[in-house]
Amino acid sequence: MKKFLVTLVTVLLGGAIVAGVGVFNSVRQEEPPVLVANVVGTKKAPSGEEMPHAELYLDVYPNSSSKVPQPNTPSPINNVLLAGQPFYHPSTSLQVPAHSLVTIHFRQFDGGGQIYNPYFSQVHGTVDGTMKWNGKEVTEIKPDQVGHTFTVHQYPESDQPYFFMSIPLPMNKANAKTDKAGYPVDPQTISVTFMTGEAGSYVWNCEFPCGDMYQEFGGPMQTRGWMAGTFDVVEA
Amino acid sequence: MSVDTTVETSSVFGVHVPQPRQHGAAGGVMRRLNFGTGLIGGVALATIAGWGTAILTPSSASNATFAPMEPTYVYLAVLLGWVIGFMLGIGAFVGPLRWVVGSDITHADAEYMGGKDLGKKRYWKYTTDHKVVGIQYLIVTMLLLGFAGLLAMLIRTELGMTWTELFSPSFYNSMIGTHGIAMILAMIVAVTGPLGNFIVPMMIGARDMAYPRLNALSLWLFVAAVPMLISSMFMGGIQDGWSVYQPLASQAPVGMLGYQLTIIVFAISTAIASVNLMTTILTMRAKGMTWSRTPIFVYGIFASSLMGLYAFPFFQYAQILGLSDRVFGTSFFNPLNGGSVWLYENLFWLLGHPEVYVIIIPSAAIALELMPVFLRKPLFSFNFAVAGIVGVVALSGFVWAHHMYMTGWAPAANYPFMLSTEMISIPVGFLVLVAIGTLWRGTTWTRLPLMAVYAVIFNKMIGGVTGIYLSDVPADQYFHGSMFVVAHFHFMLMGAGLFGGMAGIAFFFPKMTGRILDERIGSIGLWTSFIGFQVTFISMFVAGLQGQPRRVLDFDSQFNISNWISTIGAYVIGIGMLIFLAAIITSWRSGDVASSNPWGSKSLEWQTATPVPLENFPVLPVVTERPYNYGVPDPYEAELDAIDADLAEKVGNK
Amino acid sequence: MIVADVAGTIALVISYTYLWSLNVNGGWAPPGSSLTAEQTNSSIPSTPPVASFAAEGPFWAIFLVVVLATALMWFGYRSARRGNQAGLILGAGLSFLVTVAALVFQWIQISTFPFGAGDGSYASAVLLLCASNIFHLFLLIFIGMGIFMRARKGLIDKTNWYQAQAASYYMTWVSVAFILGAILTTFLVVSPNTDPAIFGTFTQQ
Repeated sequence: MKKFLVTLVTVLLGGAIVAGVGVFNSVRQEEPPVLVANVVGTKKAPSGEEMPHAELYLDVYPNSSSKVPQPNTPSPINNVLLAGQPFYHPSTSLQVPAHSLVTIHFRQFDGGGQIYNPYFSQVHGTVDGTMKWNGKEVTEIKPDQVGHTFTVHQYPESDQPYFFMSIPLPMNKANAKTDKAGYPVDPQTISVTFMTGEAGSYVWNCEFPCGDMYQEFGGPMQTRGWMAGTFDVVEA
Repeated sequence: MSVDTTVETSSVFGVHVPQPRQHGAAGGVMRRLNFGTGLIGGVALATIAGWGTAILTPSSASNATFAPMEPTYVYLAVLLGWVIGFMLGIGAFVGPLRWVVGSDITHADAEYMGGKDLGKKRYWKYTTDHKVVGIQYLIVTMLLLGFAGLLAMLIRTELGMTWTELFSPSFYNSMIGTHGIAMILAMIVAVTGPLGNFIVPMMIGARDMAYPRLNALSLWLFVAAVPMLISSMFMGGIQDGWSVYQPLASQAPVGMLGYQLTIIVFAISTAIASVNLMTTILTMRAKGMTWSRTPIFVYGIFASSLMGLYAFPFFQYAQILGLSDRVFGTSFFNPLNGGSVWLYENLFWLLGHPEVYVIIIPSAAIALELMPVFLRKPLFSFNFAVAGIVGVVALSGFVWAHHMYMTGWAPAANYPFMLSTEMISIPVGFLVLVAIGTLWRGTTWTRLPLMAVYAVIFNKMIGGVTGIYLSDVPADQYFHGSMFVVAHFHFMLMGAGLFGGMAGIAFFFPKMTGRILDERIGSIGLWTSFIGFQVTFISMFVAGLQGQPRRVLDFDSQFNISNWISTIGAYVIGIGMLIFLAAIITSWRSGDVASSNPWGSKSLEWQTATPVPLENFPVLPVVTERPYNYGVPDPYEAELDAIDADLAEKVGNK
Repeated sequence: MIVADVAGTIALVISYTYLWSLNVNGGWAPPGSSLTAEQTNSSIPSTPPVASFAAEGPFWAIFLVVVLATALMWFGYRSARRGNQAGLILGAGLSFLVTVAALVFQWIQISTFPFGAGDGSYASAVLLLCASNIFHLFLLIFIGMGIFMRARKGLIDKTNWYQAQAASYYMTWVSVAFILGAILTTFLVVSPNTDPAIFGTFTQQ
């Protein structure tokens, strides 16, 4: 009987340790809080149909400092390891409504340079293939003037509705006027509008090598809360 | 210069034996050092080193790709500080320093270091007695297996259903890499550490290992390495699989340093342990123990040590070069600056494949060692078993590139490596055939150790056959990088390796602890694990055949069913292993007291008392016959002779 | 232990010869003194600069110093076998001092190379070979000091000579490791691959 009890306790204790560690790590997932695109009204789609219209506001900073908001992440270790690296703000976990027109407004405070693959200096996946850059409609920017990109990818799942979008965010030039902290006084502003379909889960990341480590595709480029995140299309 | 010429005597089994000249005073700081002082030393030096480096490193320091270098330098300093401080604190440097100044430890000190009269304290010290080191290895290995097993459970939980993302992708990747390398390290020492140290010296009739202090050094280096591996999980983790291919490793967070230093330290530990075991086996076998009278388990441990000794430095240097690229900006693996990632792959797999045999051969040798005991008949063709082991060792260094068929490295080399890989199934087949031959017409005494051997034979056959598919270049083009590969190597490393280790623990438990392992609870644990194992990994073969890639967090939902089944199987394995652990705990604390030779074995380790005295044998034994002469003369042979005689008589009558 | 050390040294030799034979991205040779500022900014200079390889002489000079230290240790060991304790002490002591001198020379060499760690794969391979040499020399200094001290105390003598023998054998192996380095850096310098694979360049379409 005693042996049976010890065995039972061992199994239960082992199970509890696994469950405890699992729940702890699941809860402390280093995912920023979800930023939801709020529906602000309706807008006419190219087909003429009136669709719900939602908006999101995202900023891209070259590094964290006391002068700008901090990366919105629960990971204190990443805050240390990735200090000085670019990040999206206020979140990288994005949620937009299905069957809607969504407009994202970006403010880009970082520099940039040459992108390896010029495909990502073009606009893909918006309603009319354009974006509004500092008030001007464009379909692409020069490949050597890219600051970052916002590129939403399909998960490898056959049941997922198709979705792909990639927006180049132009760089601020080296001689741009900056404040005392070194951030551009007039950052690049970009607005894009795209149409969502069925609900689905996607990931997005930056395709411009702005991180550290090998070929500058490491560090913040692969870390949610910095230059990569999730993009969920949900039914209203 | 003063030379102490006093002749001292020491009491050995009641006889006063003259001792060599003593060159230093007994006692000193070494008697006050233990695991606690090691921890204090490690943490203190790690703190000082990290703090000092943080102060000395300019915060603007960055590498060629603008990555900040301060975290790298600080973490490296912390890890180095930990290892040196821990080894300093536990007393590893006392012996070498006294050697260099010519003030050797005295006989009294040697006995103290051997753990004489220290009771349970000896398990917490830099003890040199091989039996204590064996038990210490057992505990550390079980803890490491538990840690890696915990990660396995979390991985399978995540993979139970796609898209759930219970854990963040980075953490999932980190779990995969850490689970892999932790299991590999644990399995490398799982048999050779506890049983190689505890059993082999007794099995060959020696009083201790050839180099007792090196024995303790190898153990405590291993202990020092494990926290570095675990620490990497808090520093961004090992996100590139257990093989940490370049250039991914260069791209990874600073946690990669934890991996690299763990391997560097572990390789030193392995080399020391291997040298020690090999020297012991070569030079300290009992009188009369010729090679044909040496137990097969000793051959297995020798082969494993030899492969570890020549192969591990390649892995170690791969990590040294990777660390150098990362910290000093060299370019061994950076193609932009003249480096080659294939160089890493070659160096890595020059260990990576022999390492599989480093794990499997001792487990197979255990199976062959205990089968004659429970079948009461000689090993079926001892010479073939030895030939099998020698063949594996000889070919193990010529198969590494079969891991690189799909990398594009030297396509012309694929077919020679396919040939050598398929050839190695011949000596491995020898071992399986010897096992089956030993089973044939044996007087089966089915106890827990033998049950584990049945599991090993079954798993090894599945693992071996699927390995042949993977060694085939055209087939590997489909299977490479899929869950099929994962299932295959789990069948070999866990199915053959770990179950073999369980057989060994069950068999040698009475000698190691003085108690019998509870057969009922142990059997329930064993068979529960076995059933769970089949469910998990056969289903994983199916997922692999369907095309599911390995190391992927979110997969297409068509693989859901096979993954769901695998996860249920994994939980069953976990429960089974915990039951087996409970059997060990309860039996160790309050199991039936074992006699000195409960299995009626003929090998030397069972001929001495239990608990085993400090110097193993009152008088060193002399070996006069082969180790497996059970049931000799063979009763069947007598029966056949009678039939022959009868037949001859009848034929003669006609 | 020599087997493990040999395997590690072979890993370094493989690394050197492999990278030498491939010359990936034309990155084997270190940039020379003729490199212009414009070329520095280009990953593949249009005009290959004159590479700054390490001078061969110092590798052989240090090797000879190590051989001398090894010979002295052998002399000490053979003296011990003959019962000449003074010869043992002299041999071990001088071997120790010569090894220290070798370490100093090695340090001078490594700190005066015409390239740094980041200057291509040749520089990487040579620096690691030298780092391996330094590691070996530290070990020899430790062993040499131990043999010398123990010989003085009579712990190594005519009847108890195996530690001096083991040290002599180990030093012989270390000499082989040094000559391997010297051979590589003398005879395998300029990469034979003049048409290497080029990575890291992207053409605009």
